[in-house]
Amino acid sequence: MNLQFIVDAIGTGALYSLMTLGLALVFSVMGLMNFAYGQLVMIGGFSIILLRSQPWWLLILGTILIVVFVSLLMERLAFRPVRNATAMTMLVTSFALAQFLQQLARVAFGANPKPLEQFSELSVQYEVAGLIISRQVILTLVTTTLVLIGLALLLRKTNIGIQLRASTEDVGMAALVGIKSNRVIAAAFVISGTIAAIVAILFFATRTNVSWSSGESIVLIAFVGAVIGGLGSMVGAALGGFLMGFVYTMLNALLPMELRVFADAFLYTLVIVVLLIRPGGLIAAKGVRV
Amino acid sequence: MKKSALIGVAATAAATLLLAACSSSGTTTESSAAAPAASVAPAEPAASAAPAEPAASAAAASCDPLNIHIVAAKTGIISPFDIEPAESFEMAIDELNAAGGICGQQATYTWTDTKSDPALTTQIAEEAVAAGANIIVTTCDFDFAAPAATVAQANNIPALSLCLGDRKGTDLTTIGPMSLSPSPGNAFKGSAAAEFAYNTKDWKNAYILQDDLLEYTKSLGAYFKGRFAELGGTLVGEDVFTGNEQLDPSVNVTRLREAAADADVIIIPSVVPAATTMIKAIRDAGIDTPIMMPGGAVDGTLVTGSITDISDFYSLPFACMPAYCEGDPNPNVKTFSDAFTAKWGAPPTLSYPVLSYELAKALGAAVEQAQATDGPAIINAFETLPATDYLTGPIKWSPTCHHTTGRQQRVVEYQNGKGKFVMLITPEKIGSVDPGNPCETAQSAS
Amino acid sequence: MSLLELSGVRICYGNAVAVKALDLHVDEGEFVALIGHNGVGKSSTVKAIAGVVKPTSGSIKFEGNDILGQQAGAILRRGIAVVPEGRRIFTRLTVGENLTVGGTVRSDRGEVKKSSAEMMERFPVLGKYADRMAGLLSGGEQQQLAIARALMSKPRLLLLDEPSLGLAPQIVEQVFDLLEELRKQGSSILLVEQNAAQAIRAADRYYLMRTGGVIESEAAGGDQAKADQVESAYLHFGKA
Repeated sequence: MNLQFIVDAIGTGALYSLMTLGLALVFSVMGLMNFAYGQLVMIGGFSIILLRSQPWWLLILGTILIVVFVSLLMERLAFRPVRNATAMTMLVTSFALAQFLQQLARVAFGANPKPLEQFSELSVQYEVAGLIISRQVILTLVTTTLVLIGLALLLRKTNIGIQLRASTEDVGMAALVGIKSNRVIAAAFVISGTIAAIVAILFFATRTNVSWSSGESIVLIAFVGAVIGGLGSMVGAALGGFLMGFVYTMLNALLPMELRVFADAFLYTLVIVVLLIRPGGLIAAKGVRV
Repeated sequence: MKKSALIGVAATAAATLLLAACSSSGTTTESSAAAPAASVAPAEPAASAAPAEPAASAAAASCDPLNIHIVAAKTGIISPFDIEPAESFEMAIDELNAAGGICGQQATYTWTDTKSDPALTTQIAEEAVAAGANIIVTTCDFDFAAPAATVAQANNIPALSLCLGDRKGTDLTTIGPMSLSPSPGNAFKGSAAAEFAYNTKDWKNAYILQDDLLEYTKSLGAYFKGRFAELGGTLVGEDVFTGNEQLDPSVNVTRLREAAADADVIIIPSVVPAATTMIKAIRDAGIDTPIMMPGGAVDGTLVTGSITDISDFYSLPFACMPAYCEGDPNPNVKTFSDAFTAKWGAPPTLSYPVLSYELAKALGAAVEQAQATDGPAIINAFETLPATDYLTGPIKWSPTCHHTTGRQQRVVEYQNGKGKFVMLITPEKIGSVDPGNPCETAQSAS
Repeated sequence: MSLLELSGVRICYGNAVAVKALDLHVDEGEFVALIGHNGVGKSSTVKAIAGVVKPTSGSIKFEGNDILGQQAGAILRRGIAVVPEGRRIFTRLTVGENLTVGGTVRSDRGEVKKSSAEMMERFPVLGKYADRMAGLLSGGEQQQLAIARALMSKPRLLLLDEPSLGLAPQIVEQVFDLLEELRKQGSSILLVEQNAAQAIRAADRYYLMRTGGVIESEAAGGDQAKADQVESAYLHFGKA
């Protein structure tokens, strides 16, 4: 087998891993599976188009600011009013929000995909011991690792992180010790939005266009990744997302040509098998863990 | 047909406009080349819109007004191929209406968004039938058009696709005889691409990177392969991907990297936007081998806008549109693009609007010829219309295959992010891939 | 002026009346017990003081300020900390993190750290298991942690809801020893207990809560015989 396939699979896995972390974090804090998370990535894509002519640091910063702003707006206007409602209500709210943002993007940017001028800076490729690795893949690996470590440190070492974990376990008791849940949940949306913006930059670096429907497949991957990782566990989410990308790419690499187009079907069959064996996911957790 | 058309003309002698419209369809010259470019967008209405009196009372007696329901996507995966074609279809109908109508009657149209959703497409088509549609216009792709075409067929209503290219939509049997398209079909395009590669460019070794997303992409690849093999070309490698949003090109590129040295050309039968993602990944990997799309669905501003320095890329569209391509030999293309821009505020970004514009004009001609608006009569008229130049050259439909014959495909070459017209091409021979396919036979015979 | 003063407090859940009209006060430095059977409204009273439920009518004053209807966080900031029924420690946080969280309302993080160290000194078992997940502690250790967590906010009044519930007798003893010690150090305490005898013995004063209302009495102040007597009387009419 060509070892290059493993490099490819690691690259995809790292990106999916990052996607999954952003979704899993909000889930673990407020029990909300935010299906509008994919639309945050989509909005990140359009931000990149808008900021394309700016210096790279401004492009990254601007994209993060825009996506975080929308993420906070989401929390304030859509999710806060239903925070104490049933999980089903929150889920429906997130679906409705996803639809709303898609339609908004369609009105604002048109139904056709918008061309995205490529980032030649990220497509530079290096050859190491016969293996080719692009700057985008290196950056994705580094970022995902840093985000995972960063999240672990944040949740372990900072007050807001400890408060986040306390709120996850017992929101009523958290209020009794003086934790402001609004602030803590908003913080989770800031972090989730930041991750979505970074995902947008890394994801769209390999794409040639952004469309109003761009976020759909992303949220599906992240959702399944979070579920097989074990909902609520950050390491589990990172692992689950990574496996989604890694296995999918390896299936594409190793299946004979006639079966290759069914890689999706094989992947989701494996997902079902994993969930049958470990219904709680690979790393089962009942609240946020690191 | 000819007789009834002439009676119509005689009865409405005062209406110069109608005369002009009817005469183009009624002139049953056997020589296709002699057929004039009947109605290039801006010229005709400007010249003759004024005298469009409420004429045609006699002719109108046998024709109902056309009630056209466009069942195509404004959103979703297929919308890039539907929006502009539906707009240019509407533009052509507006021109016909301004010129006195079709068979003396003002045609009406309405467009409902299918959202690229097959279930919704069926529902919208059924609603269109209930609303009294006598023409259903379906999307630009077979997979997405089939649900509406099936409904139309069941109700004996013509299902005119804006531009579908797979023969399943035009072979008279898969959907049925009411389904029709202005496209020359994939047998034609795939074969033309193979001949361009082998004969013109002397590319003897090809690598195929097949997108299996659509029947369109699959049959395009099959005809390229078929014709290329007949010519003596060698397939040095073959790979497959699914051109959806989840597309991860890395593995395909890794596989291609090993074979690239042996290939003179990489064939990618796909559609935008997946294809541009794939092309970008290939170029990023440092593979400079020429890439060719054996059709018109990877073309236009989405290509030049996203890969701003794209080079050594070839496509086979139906026109070389001024927005991204220079040098179409037919001046009507520019005139059309200008008229489209004036009407819709932006120029066409792909070549497909040309097909649907021609389809609408041919629909006008077919109804004039039939002097009737019942489905089978219109379809019969389409099958027997003489070869006519509606915009980009003479085309005609046949009773055995509802794709057009006679069309000249363009080859466009992209260098440094700009498209340039290379040549007109009509395949000498159609690849033998599917011997029972009437469209293969029809193209071979023409 | 009393530290805490409830007058005419009425608490309803929908149409059900949980507390009819409660008058109660706790003075500075006082240890007051509120005893009574299950379901007479003791927990509702704690929740009303802590700001978790809002009374229908009446007034709750803390240091002379009306706190009725304020948010739990605001009441905590005023100086009332709660050790809730069932302890409700954060089981997936370490012992140290539970203490840190207890100090959330204090602005000086350095001081919080210092307090945390003090707590670990005062409760050696917490120091020993500082980095262990709190869920792994025994029931008694968890109760110590819950009290220590409440103390982390430097409260003027400590509100304890059934701290002995579900604990082995000798552990209950430890908990009461701890409360006694706290009182000696000058803490004001309102203890809600079903374990009447021990509460009466330990407290300065007690309120006996019944569905009808409240009987106030001096506490036994360590006299075992008197406490037992009250309890048996209490049990007697409690059963009636």
